[in-house]
Amino acid sequence: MSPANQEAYSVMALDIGTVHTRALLFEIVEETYHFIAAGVAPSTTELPQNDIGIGVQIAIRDLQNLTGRILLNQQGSLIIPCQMNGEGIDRIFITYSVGRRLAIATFGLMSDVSLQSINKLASTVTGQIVESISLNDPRTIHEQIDDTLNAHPDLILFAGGTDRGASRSVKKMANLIAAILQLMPKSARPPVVYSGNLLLAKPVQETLDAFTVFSNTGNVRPNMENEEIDQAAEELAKVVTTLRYEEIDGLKQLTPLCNDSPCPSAIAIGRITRFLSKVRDPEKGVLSIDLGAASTITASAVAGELNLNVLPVGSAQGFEKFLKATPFSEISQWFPTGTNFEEAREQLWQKTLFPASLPMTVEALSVEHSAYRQLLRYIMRELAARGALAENGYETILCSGAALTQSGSPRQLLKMLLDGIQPQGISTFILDSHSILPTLGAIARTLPLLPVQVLESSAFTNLATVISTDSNLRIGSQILHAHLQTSDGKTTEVIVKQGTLAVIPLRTGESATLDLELNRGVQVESFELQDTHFKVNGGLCGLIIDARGRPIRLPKNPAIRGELLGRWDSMLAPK
Amino acid sequence: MYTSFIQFTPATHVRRSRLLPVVGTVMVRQGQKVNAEDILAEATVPTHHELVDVVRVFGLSGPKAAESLIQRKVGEILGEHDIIAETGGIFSRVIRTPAPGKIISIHDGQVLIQTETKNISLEARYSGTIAEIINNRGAVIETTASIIQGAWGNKKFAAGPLLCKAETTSAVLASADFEITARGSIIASATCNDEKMLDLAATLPVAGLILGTMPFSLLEKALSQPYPILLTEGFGRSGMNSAALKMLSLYNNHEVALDAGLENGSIQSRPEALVYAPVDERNIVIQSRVTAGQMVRVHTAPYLGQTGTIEKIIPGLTALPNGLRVCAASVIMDNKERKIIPIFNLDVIGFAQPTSG
Repeated sequence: MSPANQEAYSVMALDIGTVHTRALLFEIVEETYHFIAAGVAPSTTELPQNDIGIGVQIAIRDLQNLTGRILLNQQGSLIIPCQMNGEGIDRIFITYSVGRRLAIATFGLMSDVSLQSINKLASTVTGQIVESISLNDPRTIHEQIDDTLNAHPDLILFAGGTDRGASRSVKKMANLIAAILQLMPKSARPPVVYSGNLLLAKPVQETLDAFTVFSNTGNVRPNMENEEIDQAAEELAKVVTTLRYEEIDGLKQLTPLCNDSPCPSAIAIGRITRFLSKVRDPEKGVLSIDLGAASTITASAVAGELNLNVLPVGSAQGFEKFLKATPFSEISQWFPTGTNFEEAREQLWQKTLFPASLPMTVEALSVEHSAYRQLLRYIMRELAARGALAENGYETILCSGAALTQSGSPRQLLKMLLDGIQPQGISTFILDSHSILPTLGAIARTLPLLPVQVLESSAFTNLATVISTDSNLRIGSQILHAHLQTSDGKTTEVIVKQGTLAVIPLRTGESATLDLELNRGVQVESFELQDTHFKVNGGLCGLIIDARGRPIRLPKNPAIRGELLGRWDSMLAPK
Repeated sequence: MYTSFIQFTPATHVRRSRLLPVVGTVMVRQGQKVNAEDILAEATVPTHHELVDVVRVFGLSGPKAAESLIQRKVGEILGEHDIIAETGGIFSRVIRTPAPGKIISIHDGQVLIQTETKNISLEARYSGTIAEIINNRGAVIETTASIIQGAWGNKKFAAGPLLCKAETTSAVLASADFEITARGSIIASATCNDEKMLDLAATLPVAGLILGTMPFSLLEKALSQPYPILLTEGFGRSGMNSAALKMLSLYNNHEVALDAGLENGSIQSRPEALVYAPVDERNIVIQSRVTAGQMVRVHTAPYLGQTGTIEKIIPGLTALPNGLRVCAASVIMDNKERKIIPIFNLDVIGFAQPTSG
């Protein structure tokens, strides 16, 4: 369908985060959709405003000021559709990541089968599992009931049984849930989402319908071998949005203006990441990391297989959880020489009290970047523990969230991302500096052409292409010889030694061919690289060869470590 | 441009809601005067349940078969060893209740019994007048008080007379501040650098502490104290901002309700000290939209805890010495120095309606 047929010349997306609210404008320019600009305002979910609509209005006014376009009428209402004089917009979409962590109780038959799958489904929303019950739970029934009541769940997820599998056990579990619901005050009963044996959906609904709002998604475990989380996650997102209407003042009022129901950012990012993984190298994956204020959304996809996780750590409100879970020594290992540890610790904990605050000095910025590095390590470890990382690494790593895209110079950001993510093989780091990613996912359902065309435009920033080597050779040994030839014939030769970082200048928009001569015992990909001659794209920081090994091991001696960090820093500095 | 706001306000009309965590009975009426220790509402909270599966115990074919065997109705009170279900016949089998209690439901051949409960009561905490009844949950109390909002609290609550011991914004809490007359009081000082002072406060005992800052190293010690501690600025050693100190000095010896961030129903409140006082006519309402002329407090190093007045909002983005480009304001600090500070590092001092908690 062409954009003209869809009559959507001008599209606005509102992205409501915990700290910021953004109004993003997309328009057709020369027959293709382009990202035009983003207006930003602080989110107004808390007192004294306590209504997201105020932040939305300010963000749209900011967008008006930036673009010179009239989007609001004199009464402050959006002009829909776009008028002949160019005022207004045709379509509007909402994504949101704001909202407290939902307390989720999960029920399944076997702890290592359906319960595991339903817990995986729970991890696609901003929530925390407060109670999990399976048939092999060692607690007595009354303990299970009382523990669930004490956990005060906002949402119950229930999986069980492969399609055409056991029915008695599912009914037994449904009865347990019914008993628990009956003990709760009617106004406090959580909705139940059933994602189990499809044949039993009706009897389960009959058991639970009398007590609470019941929804049915597809079976997350249709058979023992396969998990099908994606469709259930989309259905669950609708239930979560309904819960958020009660919690987030102003969200429900905005919904009638939209062309689709508000979409949780995680689901939207998952959609785009899955799409990209289908059109890119099927052997390798696409990883999206949206480091938000309260939580972090990660979407890892290989050939359309998505693994979506919302982790309860973030750069602001979610920072406290990270600090509590992380020994300070793991953060301080990244500090530059001369950092005052006590002041640094106080700075980081002060940030938990004032999440939107910004570091004002060079030292304070270094401390914050050190914490973000370790926060990324924490996230990668968590993903590894959940089996959510692609085996062969990532061809594309998309980074979103102000902490990863706006908290420093491109070089500072790259250092932080390399140390934190420690990619393997050949990866391109792309920055989503305008936080477009979730909005594209939300728009994709009704205007599929828009995300495709915007992804091909310059709305995203190519930070660098990174080649990470793996070798057991001694530090300082020569491990590869790189020969780069740009399209205009310029060549660059680089010899790379173990334990170093090498920068080969290659500007954004430029591409080149790279030949690698690897020494014996050196690998670039986890699988044998068939061809050592390939095309690479430039970026703000050029082409990077990271020969520090994986995982990066830092010396224990603080003086030697500080000296090494400084050396790596200077290796990345522009020559 | 908006930023966060902080309340260090002269006395005004203040409403605070008090809620039971569950549905219960409200014991007060609108317009009634209450003291801090008065009970507003009571509730019975079930703490233990038993689920008796008649189908499984009797080995029946399904719930239908169980229905005729269950001898009880929903709401019935069960004594010790009372029979719930019976098969009948010569060799009748019976199921007895595992404990005395009340039948909550009978569903699909399963009998759910509430076997233990506990009573909870909701104290007013604040002295004032009941302004509103929240059906089955609690009430809103209205009083007149000055509000001093905190950045951090150790999640405890107490009330007592205020003893402001700080004369300067950098005064350090010392053992001399804990003379016997301080017993039962809420002590205010600019900072505390020694964990022994926190223990000393507990042994006196004081009712609570209001501090500007405290080093992060004292966090665990502060959390373990039996009394509430509120920090107006946060972690560090820089002391208390001048606006808060002025307020505390002004209301020395007044009665204080110190809420260091306790949960109220399911709502986590922001730590605050309410200092009871008659309404101050100088009271002004300030919104959190940042404009020139507003008094602000800086909550981030290197100016943590300092106050000043916004000279102007700098248009566009301003580059900081560390390279970050941010929305910033030019602030004339109390010492008359001009500083460029990110707007997100500022709190507007004042308050915005509504003030109900």
